[in-house]
Amino acid sequence: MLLGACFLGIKAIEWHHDYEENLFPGPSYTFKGKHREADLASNKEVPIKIASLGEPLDPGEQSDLRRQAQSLLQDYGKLREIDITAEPLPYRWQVTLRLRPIKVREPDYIAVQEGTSPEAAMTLCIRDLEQRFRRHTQMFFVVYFFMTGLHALHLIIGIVLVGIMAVLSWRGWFSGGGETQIEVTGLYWHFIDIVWVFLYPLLYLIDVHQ
Amino acid sequence: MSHSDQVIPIRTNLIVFVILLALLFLTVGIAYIDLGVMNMVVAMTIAVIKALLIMLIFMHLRYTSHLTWIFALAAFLWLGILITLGLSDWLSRGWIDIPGK
Repeated sequence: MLLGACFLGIKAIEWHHDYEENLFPGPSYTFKGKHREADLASNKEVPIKIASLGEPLDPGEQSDLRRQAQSLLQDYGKLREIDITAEPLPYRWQVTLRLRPIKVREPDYIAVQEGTSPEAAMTLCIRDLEQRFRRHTQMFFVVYFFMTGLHALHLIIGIVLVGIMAVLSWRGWFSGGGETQIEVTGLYWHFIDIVWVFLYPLLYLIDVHQ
Repeated sequence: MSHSDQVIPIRTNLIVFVILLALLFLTVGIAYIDLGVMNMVVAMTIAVIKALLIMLIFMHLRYTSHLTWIFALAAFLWLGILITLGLSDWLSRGWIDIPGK
């Protein structure tokens, strides 16, 4: 009971903190600063390629673009690799941004209007990237709040149950020894245990090494 | 369930508690080492070991009949159904081409 109450106390502090940081999913949801790196880890899919009508880029333009992307994405922290390759097709070029450890499953093209400069297309690509991060991290926090919230509800029920059992057996209320009642309460308590055994690595330790 | 006449000595419970704590520290430690996809595998393997310890000792499964084991396993079957159906949207994405998308 004591440890259960401690857990709830810690969660209350944590939720309050998350709420203050506007991480609670909803219209005011934002994520920024130190949360970003951790959040990036929860994204496995990111848009990576943009295609635009235009002349193929020469190597000089490519490295300019690379520098520009680097500075635009600096806020995000984790940019490790950018490939910019001009496609052999005439009037078409594409930029590949690879943010490791995020793996790309399929290339995603962002259509831009004819005559859009590579810089403008790059900016569009990065805006899209940010939006996707926002959506994906919001999804993480939906899952996070739901899972920890439901767990807290179970814990509250568990603490009340254990308390009732403690009082009843203290008063000698049970006609037998109350074994069945206490055993079943114990089973419920350990069910909560097992849930947390899985939730903790999944919600808190996921990709921390990155 | 309640008919496990055996009362587990506090010593056993304490030993299991210490093992669980050790496994917790192991999980946290390994999480900081980059093993690629193996990170998840290792974390979940340790979690399964911990769950088994809790079920066998704390939940007294070890001292009960095999019928109880079947019922305990059945719970995981239902959990599996729950998770599979919950994931059905995600799992079936891209099976059908939607025109205009």
